[in-house]
Amino acid sequence: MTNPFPSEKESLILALLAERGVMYGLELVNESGGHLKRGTVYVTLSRMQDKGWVRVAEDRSPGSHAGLPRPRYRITAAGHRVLMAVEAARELLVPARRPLS
Amino acid sequence: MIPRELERLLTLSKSLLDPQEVERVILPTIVDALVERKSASSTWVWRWTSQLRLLHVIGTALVAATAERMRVVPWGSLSSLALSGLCGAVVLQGRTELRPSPVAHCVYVGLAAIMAVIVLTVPVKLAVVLRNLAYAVVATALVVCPWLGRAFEAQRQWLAIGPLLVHVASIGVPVFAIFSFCTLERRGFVRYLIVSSAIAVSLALQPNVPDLCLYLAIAVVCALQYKPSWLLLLTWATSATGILVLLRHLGDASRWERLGLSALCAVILRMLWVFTSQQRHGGAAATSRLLRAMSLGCTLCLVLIARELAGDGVPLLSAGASIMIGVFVLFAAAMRAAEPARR
Repeated sequence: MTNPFPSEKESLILALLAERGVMYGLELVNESGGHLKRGTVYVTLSRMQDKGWVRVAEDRSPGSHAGLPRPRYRITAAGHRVLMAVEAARELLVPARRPLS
Repeated sequence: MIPRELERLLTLSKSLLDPQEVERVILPTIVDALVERKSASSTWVWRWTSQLRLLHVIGTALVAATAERMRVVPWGSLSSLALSGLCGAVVLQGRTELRPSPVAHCVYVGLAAIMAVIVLTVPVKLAVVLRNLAYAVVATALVVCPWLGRAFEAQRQWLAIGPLLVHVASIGVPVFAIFSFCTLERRGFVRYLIVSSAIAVSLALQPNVPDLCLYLAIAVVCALQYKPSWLLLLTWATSATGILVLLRHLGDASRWERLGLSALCAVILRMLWVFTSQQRHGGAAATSRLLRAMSLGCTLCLVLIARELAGDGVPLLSAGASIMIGVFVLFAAAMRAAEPARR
């Protein structure tokens, strides 16, 4: 059974994809401000594909990179719902963390 | 065209990872490297950086796949089995005439649990790569070097590894378990039958009854993969193995009563274990947890009762490194064999 809750990296990827639409893996790394690493971004994206939160954009025709397609990622409806839930939970929890004084 | 150095790493990744992981993780990394080549200041720097990066990604993918498998390891069943094994140490306490000592027995249980986790989590492709090497070691020890190791209980080829005394055939048990589910999944039954027969012949040269039973049980369990109901066979196989070992220890006819009691306990325990491990009550988590807790409690009670009534040390899973490793690995092999059906 896969973990139904997104990790911080997964939440960040969802937020970036929701904001920018379709992105390459390398773009996600560059736009994350150092939070996403090149060594792990595709592993994370693969896991998110399994969970149905992102999908590879249909434009996967072979490019000029040794005949290999360069995948672009797009957030799914399920991914949007997860992102909304994360943001709602964050709004609820963050005020509670403030000191009582 | 992919540069030769990256092509080599791609081949390596194909031998270690599933095709889906190669397509989703490795190929995009290679494409990224090719994109960066256009803007690289030095070809030499680009080559080494991209190779190191790809190696890092392969390692990450391997670790992630293993972590994913660890998440579905049936820890409840494994801990139940470990408790059964540790209860053996309680029974062995204060009985100097029985081997091994309780401490050594605990070491055996720990080692066996680790080997079970290895069988449960090893990537199939990695197992295929390592299989031939492992077989060469075991076959050499069994067939080519029959003088290896020392004699114990009328059997030769016991290897003393630190505090452990392990029969050579036991080393092959995890290898055989991994081989079984790999081969049946990829190459079919005939090849499996041929190799299994060859192994059986090599084992017959240095017979060790518990190990032979375990090999047979693994073969049967893996051959009947996709049918989790056949896991029940595993329970009977482990019980039968335990009884065979007991027969060896309790050759005295006056102890048949104790033997019957221990066999009954073993059968009840095994049935409880399988009943709770197959998640038949997946929809009712509370019921499942209750049954699992009952299984653990029953395990403890049965062993303690067996100790009091029998008057002699009768560990339910028997004692000794060989048999403990075998039982745990058999459990892991059965779980792996049933994987496709559980998905």
